Amino acid sequence: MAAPDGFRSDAKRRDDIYRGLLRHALVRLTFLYFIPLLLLTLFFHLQYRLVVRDADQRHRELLAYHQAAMLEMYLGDRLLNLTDLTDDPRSLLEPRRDDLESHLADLREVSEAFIDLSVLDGSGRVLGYAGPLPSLEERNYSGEAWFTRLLAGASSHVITDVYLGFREEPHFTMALKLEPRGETRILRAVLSPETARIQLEGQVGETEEPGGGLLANIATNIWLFSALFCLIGGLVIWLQARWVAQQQYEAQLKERQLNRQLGQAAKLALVGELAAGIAHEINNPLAVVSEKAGLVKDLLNPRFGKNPTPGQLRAHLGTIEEAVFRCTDITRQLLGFVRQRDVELKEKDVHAEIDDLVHGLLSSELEAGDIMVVKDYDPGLPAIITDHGQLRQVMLNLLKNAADSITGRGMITITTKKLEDRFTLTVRDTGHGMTPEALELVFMPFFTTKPPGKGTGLGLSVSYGIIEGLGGHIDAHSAPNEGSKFTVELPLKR
Amino acid sequence: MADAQERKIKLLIVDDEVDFLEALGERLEMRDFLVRTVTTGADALDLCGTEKFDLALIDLKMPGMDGQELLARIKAAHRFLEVIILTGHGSLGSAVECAKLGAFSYLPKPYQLDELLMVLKDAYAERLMKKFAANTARTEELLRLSQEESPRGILRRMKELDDEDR
Repeated sequence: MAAPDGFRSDAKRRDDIYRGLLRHALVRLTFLYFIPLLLLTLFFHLQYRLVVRDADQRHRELLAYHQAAMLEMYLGDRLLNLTDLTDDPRSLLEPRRDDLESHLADLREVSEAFIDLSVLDGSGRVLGYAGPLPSLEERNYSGEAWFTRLLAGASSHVITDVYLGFREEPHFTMALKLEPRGETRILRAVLSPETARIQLEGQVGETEEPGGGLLANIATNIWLFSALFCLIGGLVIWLQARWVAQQQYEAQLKERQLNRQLGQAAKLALVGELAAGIAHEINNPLAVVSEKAGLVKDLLNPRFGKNPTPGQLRAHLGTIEEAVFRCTDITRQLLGFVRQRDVELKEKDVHAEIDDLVHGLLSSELEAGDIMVVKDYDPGLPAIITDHGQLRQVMLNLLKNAADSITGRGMITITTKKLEDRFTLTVRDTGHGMTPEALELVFMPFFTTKPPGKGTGLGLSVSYGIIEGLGGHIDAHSAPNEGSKFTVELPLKR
Repeated sequence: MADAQERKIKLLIVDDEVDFLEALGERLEMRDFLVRTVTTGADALDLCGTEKFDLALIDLKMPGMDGQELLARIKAAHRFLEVIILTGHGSLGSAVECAKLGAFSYLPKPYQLDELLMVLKDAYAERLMKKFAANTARTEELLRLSQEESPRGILRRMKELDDEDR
């Protein structure tokens, strides 16, 4: 059940990795592709706008000029129409309504823009009127701007701008100044600007909006083209990103595979090294066993005629036993080294454990060596929750090493100290100590400074593994002839 | 008795494992070897300076001077002394190294005693062969010398030839 689950989660993880790579490639490529594109697009768009604006202005100027010319021509034509009526200026002295009516009709035949026609004297009084608003006959125009301008000016005619005037309607005036028999007479025609515009437009044509037509076409084309470009770009990016992601993904897979193989090779090399070490450590005591057994056989062989005493034989057999136990020691320690430890947590007093070791298992060794044990316990240290079986093995190893390092009289100091949520256990001896080179190798499997047959070189390396496994660490300080100090630091509660 | 001692094969055993050293020494003495045992390479070199050995058994892994260095130094000083290397390690690399340095054989521990005796016998035969070949060469050289050189030249050359027999 576990295997397919593991497989599935592995596949999912790989999927995630692939998706991550793809996203990465997409973002990167998009930036790489679209940012220059965007900048270019903006630049050309701006250029285009400038060109269009320029063209637009020229177009308008031309149009305005053209229209001004057309207007001038138109107004000139109308003025000419009006001037035609003044062939006989004397008729304007006392204008008759019928004459004016017929004149207006003539004018309107030429251009619908003419609205009415009137004759004024020098004081602005209306002498005659023809048109739709006879009430205007009562008005006096002496205050009007065009009137004063005409009377004062050198020009014999005036054409006004569009204004509202008395009739409250947009119109413009065209007036001629005449002087038959010394009397001042003004012939005035009012024109409708709206009609004039319609007539003018017939000649000028519709004013076009610039940017329309061809230019508008170009604009839409540009947008279309941009959209197409983006679409193609997007597609290219997508394909490219997929390709890149695939490549990277495969490279990663290969690398991981390689790493795994390397790890496997390293593990095999380690196993080989370990096997060689074990072979050496076990073959030597085995050689002792073989030689001693052979010797006993030889001694008992009548051919050599040795007649050994039972004491001699017992001594040889004792050596054999010792060598066998050296072998078992190594295998047992190795098992401790290799075995997946089941941690058994218990709450116990560490001080009692140490006392138990010092006064029990190690007492004979310590007494034989004339070694004094000094205990410097921290009274504030609570009971510790940890695997005491394993901790005991570590303490045993440390104390044994300390005792072994001392020749003749000596002292071992055991110190405990409570830290915040941890505690330290220090074993210090007055033994021969170690060189810095030896200190560096002290936790390596099979490294020992003890004479052959005395140490397996596994005790400290196993202890190291145990302490790390219990969530602590172990430290060594030593100098030749100054003794060694081993400090174990562990959490109060595993 | 001294004569009997003289006729025994003189064997040097070097190993830091005392129990092994003593047992092996005793067993080989029972088999008519004249055995000297030492526990360090330095002691072995010292002893070689004062006594003449036919064969040497050397453990490869020893504290201080290791077997390989001892082998090289012994072979440099005594070319007819055949050396057999003993080791518990049994790696092929060191075997090749030792063969290059002139070890006669390489025996992994533990071994059967008969095996060791066979190797010792072969090693002694090798020693004799080499000595015999060297002696023959020397005799021929001597014969050649006496025809060509002056009496003083012959004497000097003969001394040189004699020195080689160590």
